[in-house]
Amino acid sequence: MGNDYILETQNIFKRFGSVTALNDVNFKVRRGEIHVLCGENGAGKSTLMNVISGVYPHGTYEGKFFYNGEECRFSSVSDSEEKGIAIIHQHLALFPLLSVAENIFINNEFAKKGIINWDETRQKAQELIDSIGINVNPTTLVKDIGVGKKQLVEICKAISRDVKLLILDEPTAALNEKESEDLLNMLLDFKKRGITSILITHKLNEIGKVCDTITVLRDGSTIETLEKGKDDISIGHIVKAMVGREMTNLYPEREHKVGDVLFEIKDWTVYHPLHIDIEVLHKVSLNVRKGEVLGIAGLMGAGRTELAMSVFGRSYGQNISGELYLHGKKLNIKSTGDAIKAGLAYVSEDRHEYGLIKGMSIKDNITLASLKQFIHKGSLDSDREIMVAQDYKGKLRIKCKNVDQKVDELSGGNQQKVIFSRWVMAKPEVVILDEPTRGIDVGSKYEIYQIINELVAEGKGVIFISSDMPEIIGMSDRVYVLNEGSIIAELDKEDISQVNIMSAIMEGAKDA
Amino acid sequence: MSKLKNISLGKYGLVIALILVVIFFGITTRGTLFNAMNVSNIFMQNAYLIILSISMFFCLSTGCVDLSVASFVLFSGAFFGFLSVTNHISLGISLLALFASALVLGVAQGFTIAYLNVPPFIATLGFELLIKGMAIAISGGQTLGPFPKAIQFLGGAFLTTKARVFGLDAICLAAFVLFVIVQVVGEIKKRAKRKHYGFPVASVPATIVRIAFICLTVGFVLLRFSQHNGMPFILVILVCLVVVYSYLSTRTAFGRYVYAVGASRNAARLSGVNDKKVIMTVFINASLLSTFAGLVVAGRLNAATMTAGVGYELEAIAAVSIGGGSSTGIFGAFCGAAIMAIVINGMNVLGMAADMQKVAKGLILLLAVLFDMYSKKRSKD
Repeated sequence: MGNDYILETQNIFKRFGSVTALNDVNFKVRRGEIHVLCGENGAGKSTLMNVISGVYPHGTYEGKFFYNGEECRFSSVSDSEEKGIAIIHQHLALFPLLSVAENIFINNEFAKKGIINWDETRQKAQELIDSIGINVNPTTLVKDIGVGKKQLVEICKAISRDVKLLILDEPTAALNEKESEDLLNMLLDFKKRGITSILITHKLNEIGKVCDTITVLRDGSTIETLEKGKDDISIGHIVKAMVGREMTNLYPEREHKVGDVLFEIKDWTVYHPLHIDIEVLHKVSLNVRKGEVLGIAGLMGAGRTELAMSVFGRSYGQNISGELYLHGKKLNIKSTGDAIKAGLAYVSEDRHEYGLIKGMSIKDNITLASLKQFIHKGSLDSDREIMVAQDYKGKLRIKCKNVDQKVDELSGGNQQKVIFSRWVMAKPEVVILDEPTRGIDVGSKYEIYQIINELVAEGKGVIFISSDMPEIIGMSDRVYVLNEGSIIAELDKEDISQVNIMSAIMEGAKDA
Repeated sequence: MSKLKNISLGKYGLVIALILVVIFFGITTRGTLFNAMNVSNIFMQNAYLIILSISMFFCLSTGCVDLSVASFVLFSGAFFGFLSVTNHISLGISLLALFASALVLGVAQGFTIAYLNVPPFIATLGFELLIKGMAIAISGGQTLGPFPKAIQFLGGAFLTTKARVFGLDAICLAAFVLFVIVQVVGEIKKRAKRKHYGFPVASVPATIVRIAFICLTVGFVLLRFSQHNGMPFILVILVCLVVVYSYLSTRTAFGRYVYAVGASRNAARLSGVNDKKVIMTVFINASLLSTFAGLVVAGRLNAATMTAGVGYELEAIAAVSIGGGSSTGIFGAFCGAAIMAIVINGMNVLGMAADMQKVAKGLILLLAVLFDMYSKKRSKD
């Protein structure tokens, strides 16, 4: 590949008021390589990609960058798209009420004199879908497909525009083991087709396989550039560069003190909210003990989020049957309010839709589920609210200006900590976590694992849903494997391994 | 210097709009806008708008538009007229029956939106037609009047007093002094608390300018009242309403839930907020407040007319939007209503034809919101 650089940035500075997000960044990408960009949240990875793709137009940053040797002065994303640069953001830019085919060819339609040829659109969409290997119908509306498939639809969109430089921001964050592997293989395939890829990711264990070069950003500056084959690209080395210090263990130590059965789900059956005849969960039975981290593994679409949300106040599904027991006593839960009163808590996998209240301060977000605690003679004791919020800010190390700041301005990891604070404050006995570290940097992940350890040390039961295999293996005391709405395996600590979980899923798929 | 700039051009955008509107109409009406009788008129004629803005503020804050307020205003005058004027039913019973029916309608509307999940736009449009129809049927399409003394007093009376201090009406002067004290003491306490917790506070000069501006404006208005017929009774009611609802929206759990449901209904629900109950409550409140506004309107005209309420829902939505919506609170809605009131009054003084007034109202809404959005965007960067 030599020194043929498809992209080269020179002395890029990007400031937001008094904050310098990019500090003299010199970043080079060779033609045809897979270049991985790593860094903690707030390091500047997304900001840099936004400059390159035209989201931040020329004039809003200092410095220059060159694409194919030509200096770029993009005034919008369309300009970069025309040159063959495509960016797939972590928060996907799809239209939920339009179909897959319509989304793929948005702004790029097969139209003669303004009239769209739908047959051709659908056919070409199907070709792209097949070439990528997704199992989806081009006429399905995007709102009805899962996050993993949505990502692949975005990739189809990029391919349809004859992309030459593909930028992916956390593409595997929302995918499970198998889907991630497929995606990475796809990138290797693209490499053969001459497409250069820049991959932003926190899943350090995946990159060794596909990367040619790794650039580490920290606090807006390029710290190190490592080349596969020449430099040390071990996880330890990368993490040290990202964080600026040694990180020996990814998962904090914990004393395993598991007690009696705390919470039990018996014969839980749930039907799809829109299609009464589709059974989403079939007689699911499981239990969590005091002081235990119970992992729930499974493929996307297995029904784990549906299980969590239907248990938590019937927030999902219809025609729900089954029983819930806490401390052996049967629970009667008809709403989220009931669930909270009973001692349950649920941290959603989608913090933007189901977690954070946008436009509201950190303090108000933290106290929302526990406002009754602050009512004094009819009104809210705002002094106490502030003090409690500041307390959690310190305990969970939430990085912010003050607790009056709006949550929208925080990084992903800190937003997740705000949501954790909300639920810890509600004093639950059982905490259900759905993909709690999705899209969060290494440092914040570790802090969240520590919070989870503290919860179980207090005797609570934690149900831990995750698609990140190493995470489930590293944190769980016991694992249930869910596949297509049923529990297909229960693994005790000694038996928890990648092999066992995957074979359980494969066995389950075979019988189906 | 930079500290001064950072403290929201966004919030002040609204005040600038208010000043511009005042200057514009002040000049075009050749000062008539500011004379004593006119200032009193601005309040008397537009009291309904402030009441409806409060109601609309809560609905819009939960993300629901309410197109039915105008029909409640019409229904209020028509039904009360039918009971009290046509059938000579006593004041107490008439009021009871009126508000009981408003409550039933409010519950029905709230239920339709919150529990039957009919989109608010469609539901309130449907109820608007329903209630308007009922109102015309009940009144037989006739103008009903005269209204009982108590209602007349509500809509059009002044608290005149012979007592004078420094040549000024005693009640108005007392109100002014009270207002200044509340503003200054409140501001001092608020700053102290924010500083205590390390939250940012506006610079002292900026705060002084702001307080001074508010007090001067209020002082001017009270002076004009003093020079005319004294304090309008309805103003006392309005102040009480603003204070109570402001407290409700900022200091109670319910107020917090309203904001949460409007900002992220799903997230609010998963946090244990009973979103359906919140929306139902907001619409029940709307039905009661707009019925009250209808009485104020009928009281001032001393008649229930068939044109009462025409266009009121759009004026209320405009007022809340100009005021900045849920981010600026009840005070923002009040400012938006004030801007609309001055515009409406100004156009009347200028003798503008009704159709041209509609054009102007629409343009002003668009311009004010654009300006507000622009200044909010600037302050973010």
